[in-house]
Amino acid sequence: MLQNKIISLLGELSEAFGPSGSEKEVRDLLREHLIGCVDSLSVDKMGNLIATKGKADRILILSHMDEVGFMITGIREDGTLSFLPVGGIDPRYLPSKCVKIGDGRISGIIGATPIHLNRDKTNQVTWDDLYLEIGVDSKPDAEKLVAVGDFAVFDTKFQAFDHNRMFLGKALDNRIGCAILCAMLQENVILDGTFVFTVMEETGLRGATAFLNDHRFSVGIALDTTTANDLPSILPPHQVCRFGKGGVISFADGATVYERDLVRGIINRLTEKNIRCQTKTKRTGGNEASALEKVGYGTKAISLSTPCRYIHGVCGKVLLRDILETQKALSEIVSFLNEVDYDS
Amino acid sequence: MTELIDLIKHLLDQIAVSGCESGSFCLPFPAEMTKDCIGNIHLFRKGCGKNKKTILLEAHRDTVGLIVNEVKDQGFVSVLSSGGLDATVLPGTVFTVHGREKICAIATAMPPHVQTKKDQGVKIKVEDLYLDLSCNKDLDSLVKMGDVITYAPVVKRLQGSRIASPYLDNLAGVAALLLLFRQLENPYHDVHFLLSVGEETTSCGVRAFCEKTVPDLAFILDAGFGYASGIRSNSCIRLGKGPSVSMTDTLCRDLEKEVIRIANTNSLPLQVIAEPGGTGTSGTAIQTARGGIPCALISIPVLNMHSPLEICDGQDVKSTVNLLSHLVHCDTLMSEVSDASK
Repeated sequence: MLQNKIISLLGELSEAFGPSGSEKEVRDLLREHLIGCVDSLSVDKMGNLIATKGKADRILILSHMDEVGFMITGIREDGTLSFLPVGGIDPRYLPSKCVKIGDGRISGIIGATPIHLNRDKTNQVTWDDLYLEIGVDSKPDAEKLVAVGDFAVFDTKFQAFDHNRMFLGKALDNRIGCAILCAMLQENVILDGTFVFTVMEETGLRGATAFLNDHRFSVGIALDTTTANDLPSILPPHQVCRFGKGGVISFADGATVYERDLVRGIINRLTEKNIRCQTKTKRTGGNEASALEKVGYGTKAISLSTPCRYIHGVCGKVLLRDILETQKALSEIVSFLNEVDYDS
Repeated sequence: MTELIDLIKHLLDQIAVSGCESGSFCLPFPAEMTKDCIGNIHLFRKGCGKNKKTILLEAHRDTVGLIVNEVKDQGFVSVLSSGGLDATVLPGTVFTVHGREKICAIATAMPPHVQTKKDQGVKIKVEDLYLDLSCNKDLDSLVKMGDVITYAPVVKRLQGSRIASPYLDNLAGVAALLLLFRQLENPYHDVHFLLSVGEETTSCGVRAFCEKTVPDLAFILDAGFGYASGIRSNSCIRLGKGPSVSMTDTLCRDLEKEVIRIANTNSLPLQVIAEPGGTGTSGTAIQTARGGIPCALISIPVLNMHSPLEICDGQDVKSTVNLLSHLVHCDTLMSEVSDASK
């Protein structure tokens, strides 16, 4: 059943190791699930996983596989590691969080130089203050386990609550999108199109850009996960989007202004079909829609995202209800777009 | 190491935030223990020595934590702190709210996409935090003002015998005392084991105990600041080099020297650290109780104190058990020292 498939895929994908530039584990998982369910499955030179079904040139859906993470930049004499972010992460919330490093998946705990030393006037933690503690006391001992250039991701167990209605986990941006798309392909909910699970979205939409420089489509959907900032201390206009209100279809976000009539048409259709959806109340966040618009010949772009709290951090939160409404919205948007001839 | 990790997990299951320690507590092994009205846990091993003294081994079992302040709509709670927490590292941290049942919760954090330069300069205080609960329905019956909140009990093994877990301050000390109790047979001296309450706030637990039972000597077991990158090396102790004894201007120098003597005689790993100006432990409370109780502070090195994941070395816990064992078996402990009152 589609819902159960999405949930079990999400658990698997959330815990997989796939920072921008090292998405192999996620790609292999998706490939395993998709074999036999799609007409063709290939991997391009960037590492994008490309699937086609039925009339492949009709519609394009992009869903990025990569997550934000870290890279080891140095090994210090005392056995601790220096590191920098891969993608956008707030350094202030990092001390005492646990990560997994490199092929050996070595456990590390993020540390920070204490407040009374080495901090500037604002007393805020910066990347220079942070290091990783893996439990060895010398550089040679550390070098046996990790190397400069190794990737790391948050180490967070995926958890379900309230009878699978609520989930906590890392990398929900954008494993939610990948789980939705993969499950829909497995269950034959979408029958025609090209579906690209992209790499390096978080570090500059690179996978999508390379793909779009080599392929031409009339219309494309960027399926992503976006930040719900609906916290008690935040006034409604700044909440961006909210839990429980369904998939997010933007008129505009931090990078793109979408075609107004197209977005209105979609929202009207979804409303007719009783599918919950919402728009962003603030122009914030970007996704592969901006690559769709700017790269190559340009593709008419739609952005559809699941609202998620605390993304780009150690643990995000999402509601099943919003995931399912996003899935239904995707299905309906595909039907809607199939009814229009964009090339005339 | 598995035994120690299992013990830490067992203790994490019954973690007690300072001020809220009256809940049930059970030992991981069968033994006679008493729990007094404020939550101190007491065990005793009778000594067999001719000139035995009464020794108190104390480790506080309470921890820092948060307390539910207001239950808001939409599944959030605002919070207050119990004990000293650095709120700046808390956004995004996973907690357990001890309501009518244990509820998983995550501290709210504004994601980087939405932050302005002004937001990035703000220093987060506990009052700014909300906890996002993993339940929506029946919130009023599940969570109330005053319910305690602790870090989610995640235990990770790092390299060698290094362990990461919340609350190693002071579960490392409690674990050392319980491991000692279980293996201790026929000590020379009478040994009182006290898992005290309230240390992170008022030290009320140990004060109450010393009103009833006045030991001849006391050793305090607590977590000490472990050396981490960037800290001046003589203000903290190293992981993996054994426990430390603090040379203080506030506790009992003679007893501190005895710890060094006995460790050296038996070739036990021991670090020595100078701590003038107060130790920030139960030391003052014990030292000044009932006419004065000579005491010394033995510390287990811990990194990231009071944060969601602290780090210690399992080998240091074992070395501490060994050191304490030698102390309570030593018939010459403080026997040569002249009594100032005589």
